Amino acid sequence: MNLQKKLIASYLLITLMPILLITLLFYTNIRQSQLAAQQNLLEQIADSKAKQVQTFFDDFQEDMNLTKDNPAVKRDLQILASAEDNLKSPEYKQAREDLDSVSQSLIKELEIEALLVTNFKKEVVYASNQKYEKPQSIQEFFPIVGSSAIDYAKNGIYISDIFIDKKDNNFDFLVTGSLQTDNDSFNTIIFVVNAQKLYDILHEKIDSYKSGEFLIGRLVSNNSGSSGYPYDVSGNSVLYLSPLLFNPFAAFKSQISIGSSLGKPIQMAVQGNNISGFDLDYRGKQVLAIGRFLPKQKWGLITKVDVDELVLPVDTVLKAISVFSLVTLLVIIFIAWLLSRGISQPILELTDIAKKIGAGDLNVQISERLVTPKNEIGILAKTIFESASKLQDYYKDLDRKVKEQTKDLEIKINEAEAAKKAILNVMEDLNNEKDMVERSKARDEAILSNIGDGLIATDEKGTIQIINKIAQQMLGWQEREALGKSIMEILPIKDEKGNLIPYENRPLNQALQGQVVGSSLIQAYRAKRKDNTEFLIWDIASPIVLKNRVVGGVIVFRDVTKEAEVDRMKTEFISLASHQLRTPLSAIKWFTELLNDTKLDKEQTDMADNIALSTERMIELVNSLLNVSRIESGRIVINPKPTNLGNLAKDVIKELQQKIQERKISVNVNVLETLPEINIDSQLIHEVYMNLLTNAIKYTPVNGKIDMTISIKAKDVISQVSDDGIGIPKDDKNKVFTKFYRSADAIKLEPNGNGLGLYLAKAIVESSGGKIGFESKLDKGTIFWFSMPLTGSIPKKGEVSLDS
Amino acid sequence: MINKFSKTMSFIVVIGAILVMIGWIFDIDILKSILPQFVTIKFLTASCFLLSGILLFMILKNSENRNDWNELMLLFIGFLIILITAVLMISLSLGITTGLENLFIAEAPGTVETPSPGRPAVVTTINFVLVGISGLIIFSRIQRLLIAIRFFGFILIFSGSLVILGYIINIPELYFKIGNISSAMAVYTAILFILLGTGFLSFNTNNAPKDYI
Repeated sequence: MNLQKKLIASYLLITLMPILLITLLFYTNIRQSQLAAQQNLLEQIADSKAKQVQTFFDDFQEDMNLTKDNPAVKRDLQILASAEDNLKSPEYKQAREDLDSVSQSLIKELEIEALLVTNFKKEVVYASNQKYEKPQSIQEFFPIVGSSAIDYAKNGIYISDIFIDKKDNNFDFLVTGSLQTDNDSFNTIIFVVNAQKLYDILHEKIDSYKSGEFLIGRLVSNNSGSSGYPYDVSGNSVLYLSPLLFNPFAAFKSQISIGSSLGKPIQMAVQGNNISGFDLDYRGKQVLAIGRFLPKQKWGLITKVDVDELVLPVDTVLKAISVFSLVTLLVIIFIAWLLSRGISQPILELTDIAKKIGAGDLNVQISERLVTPKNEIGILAKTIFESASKLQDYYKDLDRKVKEQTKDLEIKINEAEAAKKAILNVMEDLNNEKDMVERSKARDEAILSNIGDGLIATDEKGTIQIINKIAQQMLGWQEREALGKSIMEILPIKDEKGNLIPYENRPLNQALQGQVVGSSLIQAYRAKRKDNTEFLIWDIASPIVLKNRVVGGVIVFRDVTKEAEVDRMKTEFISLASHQLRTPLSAIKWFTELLNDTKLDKEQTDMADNIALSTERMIELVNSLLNVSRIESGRIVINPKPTNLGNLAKDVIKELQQKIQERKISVNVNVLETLPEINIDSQLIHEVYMNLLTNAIKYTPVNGKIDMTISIKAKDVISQVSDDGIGIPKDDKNKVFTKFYRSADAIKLEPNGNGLGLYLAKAIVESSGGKIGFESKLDKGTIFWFSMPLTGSIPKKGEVSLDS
Repeated sequence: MINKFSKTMSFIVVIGAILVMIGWIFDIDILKSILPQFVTIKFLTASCFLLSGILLFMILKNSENRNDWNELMLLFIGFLIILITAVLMISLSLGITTGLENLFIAEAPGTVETPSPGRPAVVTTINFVLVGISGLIIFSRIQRLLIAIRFFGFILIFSGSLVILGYIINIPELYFKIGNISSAMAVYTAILFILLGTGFLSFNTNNAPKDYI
């Protein structure tokens, strides 16, 4: 409910209630007063009417007395009464004439219907009206009241009850008065009076009330009609004796039972009670009724007016008040609406303005009529307007500053965007790096976990950073025990003499100097476990280099106790086998030479040559096997001495001159003039040149060409042997330096070969600190090259040399 | 729970008032007075109890679900009760008969312990003024005044209890019979005040709507 409606409703309720209450009270009081006043008035009217009715009958009584006491009437009545047989006598006639004159006078004066005279026999002896002319008993004329009226007249003037005259169906009553005659009989004078005169009295208006009426009734037995005289005290019904205002034919026809809810006033009145009050009449309508009991007639006289008519003036006033109240109410509603509008309308407008301001629209206009009043609403409106204006100014100023700042911000935003992009790129790269590192780490961890050898990584001071599971198992140290400790504590190693190798001499220390150092079976170390047991290891120590700086070292070691045993056994076998083989081979060669020195025929000589050749090959094979074995076991001595590679190569070419000439191959040797001497083991490098050149000669066709070039490239001396031979198939390029490898074409070209030459050359070059490689095109030729560092080979102690 | 109890009290008061009004309309003596020798509960008193019971119910309803229509009803009923009782008190103090006492049903003069037919006891009218004020308190929406409603309830219970005691130990002053000035408070009136007061006393003032001042 909005404010205006609530205000109007409140005004309405507050004003309506008092108005209603006052109206109700006013109406009730006025009504009661009106009714009380009317009741008083009506009581006076009722008393007056009762008196009037009584006077009406009293007058007749008086008239009867006068008539009865009139001497002339007396005399004439006597004559008439006693003239039974002599109706034509002059006295009778005279008496009759006199009585006619009196009766006419009385009829006219008293307005009665007739005057009758009865004799003591109750026979009508005189009647002023012809309808009573025939001499008959009074009962024939008035069957209900006639006889009793004459009897009661003896005691005084009697007025009978109203009855219906059968002759003319009029409502009449009798006034009787007795006359005693000289002979002590009674003549009765009877006035026959039409009750209409009484009814006329009763039909007079009560003030100006249309519903006002007088009515009379008497007590009767149920359905008894007229009960006659005396008054029937045992009656249980009320008979209406007069026509009713609202039922003109009710006289002598309508009855109301005593105890009925209708006609309570007449019921009370006929029973001897004088009443005054409000009750229901014979119609069932609420009336103000004054009831009076007429003792002489034993009648009840009711004076009544309808209550509706009595309060009509009050109701009229009430209607006027209602109209007035309604108008007042409408005026109040209108005023309430105006007043509330005066309050709510500005509030509504201010509410709309506040909403606009709240929505961000500060450019509001407040009308003059809102801010003009000096009341709270005016103050509120002014305050809102000023606040909005200030806000607007503030926002304008803010907007200006913002715009100024925005330009700088835009630049910075652009820079930030660029930086952001760069950062995003870097982050992406970092993420990629991170992924890679994580993958690498995971891979490394997998490798470390799954590597078959023990691995320990240290920092640059030899403090253990990583120790893999195999190392832990081999050494008996848990990772948490080993991390952070010195390598000397976790992996102490001894030489073959059992002396603890100090840190400075350990391969790790050398690795931390930047070298890759490995031990061989010959130089296996004795490592000590946590439980102080010892075992043989073979290890490689490598530096961990980061940005050209050694930041740590890695040791990979293997329990080679078994391998040492196997190696020892193999070495023993090879040594034994080679020696065992060499000796018979030498013997065969020697005997073959001896045989050739004897006289042999051609066929025998061929056989001997074949034997010698085969023996030579076998010796060569055994020597190659021995050399391979030596190199693999690391027992070969590397004894570098300053050597000129060019000269060495030329020596080898000289040694192979015979084969070169046999195949008519041209060999070109190009050696850098400024080639320095480098420290190499000439025997070993000789073997390399020998193998490369031998292969070149073997696989270069007749009249082919071989080029030998020795030059310097960067920090290495590059020796290159190129030929235009059969070339090496693409599929075999990975197998070239493996043991016993020979390509199919090579085998076709030169069936004899052991496939160990290039393997041996590679082993020698690599153990001397160089590299070896080749390029080849099938059927075009091959270029084999190897490099030796200008710094030379590192000397190595061993047990044997090649071909020893 | 508490408000349910108060609502029950309001229902009982309304029903009691209606029964008394029926007793006056159909002239059933037992519904007007507990015993013939005791003063009757007036028709106007019963009307005020009817309004008071409805007022209590509306107070409780408003505390559960405040809305403007409830409050207007409270204003209407509260003001009507105050208007009726104020008119009675002023007419008593000025010796004026306004006719309000017998507006709907007139009591016959000379009834037991009733100097002025149809007019309730002075204490009865004062109690109804407090009831009417309770309705206006709710309409005012001033929270700190809510406690007054419970205080008024206590007064109703106290006055009703005093009357019952007075009848039991037969001390007319306790049932507020003041010479020819004020009729005594009827037993039924006392009982209804106790019930009504219990309803007001049990009113949960913590349930005031959030927008109360």
